[in-house]
Amino acid sequence: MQVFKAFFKLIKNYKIGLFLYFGLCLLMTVVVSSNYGDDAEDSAYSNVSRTLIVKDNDNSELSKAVVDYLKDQHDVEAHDYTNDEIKDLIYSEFYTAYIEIPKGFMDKHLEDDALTIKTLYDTAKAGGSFISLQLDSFTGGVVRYENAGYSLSEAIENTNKSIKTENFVELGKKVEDDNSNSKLYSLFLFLPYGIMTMVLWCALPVILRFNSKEIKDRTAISAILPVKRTIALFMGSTVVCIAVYLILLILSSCFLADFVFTRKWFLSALNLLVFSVVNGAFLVFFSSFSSEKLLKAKDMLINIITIAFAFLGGIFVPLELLGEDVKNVGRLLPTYWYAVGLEKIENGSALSDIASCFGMQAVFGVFCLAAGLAISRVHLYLKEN
Amino acid sequence: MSGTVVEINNLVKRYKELIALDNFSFKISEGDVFGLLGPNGSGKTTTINCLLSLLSYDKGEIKLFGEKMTPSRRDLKSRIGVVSQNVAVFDELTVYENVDYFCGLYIGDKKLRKQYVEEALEFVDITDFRKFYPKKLSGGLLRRLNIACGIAHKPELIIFDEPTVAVDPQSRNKILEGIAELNKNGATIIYTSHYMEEVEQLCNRVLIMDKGKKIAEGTKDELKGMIKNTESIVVNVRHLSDETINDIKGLHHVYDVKYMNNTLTVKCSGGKHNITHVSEYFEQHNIDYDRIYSELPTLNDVFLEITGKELRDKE
Repeated sequence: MQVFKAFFKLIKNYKIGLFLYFGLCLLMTVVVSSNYGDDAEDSAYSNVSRTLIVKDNDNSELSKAVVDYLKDQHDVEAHDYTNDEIKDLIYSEFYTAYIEIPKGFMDKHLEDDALTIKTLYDTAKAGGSFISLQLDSFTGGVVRYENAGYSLSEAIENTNKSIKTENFVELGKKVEDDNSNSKLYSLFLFLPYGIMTMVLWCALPVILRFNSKEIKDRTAISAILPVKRTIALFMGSTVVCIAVYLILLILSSCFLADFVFTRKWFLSALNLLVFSVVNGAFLVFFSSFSSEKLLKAKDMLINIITIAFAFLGGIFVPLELLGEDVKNVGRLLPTYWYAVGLEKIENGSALSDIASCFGMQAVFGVFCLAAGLAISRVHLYLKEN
Repeated sequence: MSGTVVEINNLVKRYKELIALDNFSFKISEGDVFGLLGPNGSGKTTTINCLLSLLSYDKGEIKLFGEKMTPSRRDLKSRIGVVSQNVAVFDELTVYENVDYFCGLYIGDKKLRKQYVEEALEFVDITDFRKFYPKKLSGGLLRRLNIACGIAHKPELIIFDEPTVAVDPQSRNKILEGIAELNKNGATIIYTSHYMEEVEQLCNRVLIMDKGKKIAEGTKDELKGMIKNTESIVVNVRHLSDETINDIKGLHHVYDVKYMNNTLTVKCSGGKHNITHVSEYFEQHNIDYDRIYSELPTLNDVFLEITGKELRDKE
């Protein structure tokens, strides 16, 4: 109990760092949360509102209907650019697409029902494809209404009605749902970084102090059993890990009120709990390298470790953007499996799939404990020989 | 007759090829202040670490309070206090919290512990600094805090491993007085040092070791009696001829004479009134001298004569 109590007395000395990192986590939570709220509106709107260049060479009833339809959905501008200029502007994302209605567009349609509109967009971007789909949808609608016996004017009017009232309402709802789910994902994604920094900042220096040679020796020759001391330190670390876990879980849940106690939330919370426990094991491993030099360099080391874990694990940079070599290194870290697990939870994967990610994190934890014990043994052997 | 507190028999400790302790044996009786003397690397700290079960050993036996000492003997450990060479305190805890923490490793009862902590702080005279953090303390005060942490639980056997290294003379005296006081209060003391003056001042029994072996053991007088030199007579004198030096060599009980830098050192073995005989010789031969005095052998002389080298590296 004496060691356990002293553990928390020592932690008090690192409270400033703890509060700083808690503040940082709070700030990140607020930023991610508020950004995500704005994003939800933006993305719902941006899916249907783009900036386009539309050139109507036909100036017919049908071509005007197409332009009006596009104007309804997007910001339409009319400019005379060269082909290369248009490509540059689309590449630079000033415009999503260039649409040119050829001369004789309506006449050709009346002759053989064909509606050919020249479109130019960046195929790597979803926005251009979406515009193309909208055009197909509109022109297809007109053709279908005409085939059903409506006049061109009636076909245009009916197409406008059907597209405006139904499809986009549905699309809007779907987009909103997707964004809300991603908010849970985004908030939980950076929490391991918060846990790692907060736990390492306050618990690691304390364990290193307890493991410094003089203190360890003085404790070893006392009436307290070494195993009791180790258990007290482990208990102290665990309490810190769980406290930080709960604080961050509650904090993040405040911004995810709609998702608390849902399946995704439970699984995400479990994923974070597994990571927290593994983090405790990592603490034990790291502290087995106890030395005065390490204690002095702890600030730099903690920063390097947490940032490296976060980058390689896909917390700061999405996993898809990481190169294969980086991913291979990342696979050795619990943050990577945490991120993969979170992605699977987000995509609604089977429990067995998600559990395998928990398992990989646990493997890392077991490795840390085993390596920590082995290093302690080696230290003892070197000391005795 | 007082009981045996420490008994080490034929202890052997090897570090690969190096034999740190070579069939090392000694006994310490209750109430002793036992000095463990030896140059750096002689095996003093290894002996203490083996005694405390911080190190395993290859052969031999260690008994404390008549019982075999093993790493799991909490009952024996609770009767020992250690003041290590390096200050072992938490920089993050105050003076009071440090003493309380280390005392708490032995004493569970809160009320009793509080009393013991207060007594320890008072004993080393750092009560006024109870709320200070170790970083704010001077070297001497820090050493005293280190001692308080080692003795707060009122151990019966206290081991001081070079507690005065890098301490100013004033604090050193305070520490030595404190150790003598602890012994007066009934504690048995093991004091390791390579400062023979301290050992001479404090200890009633001394063991000199080198290269893991016991060289000599006994009371201070017994040790000094082991060597040929019983007295050195030093004379500050100018211009001595070889003939005079040879004459002095021929005096009764004189076995060695050295004349360097206008200082004549006459080493005598046994006998009384040696200084009178030397001074009479100078007067009879009308040789003027500035000063004449007698030096009794020190533990360093004992060590020097037995091993042929100085106890402490020249600083």
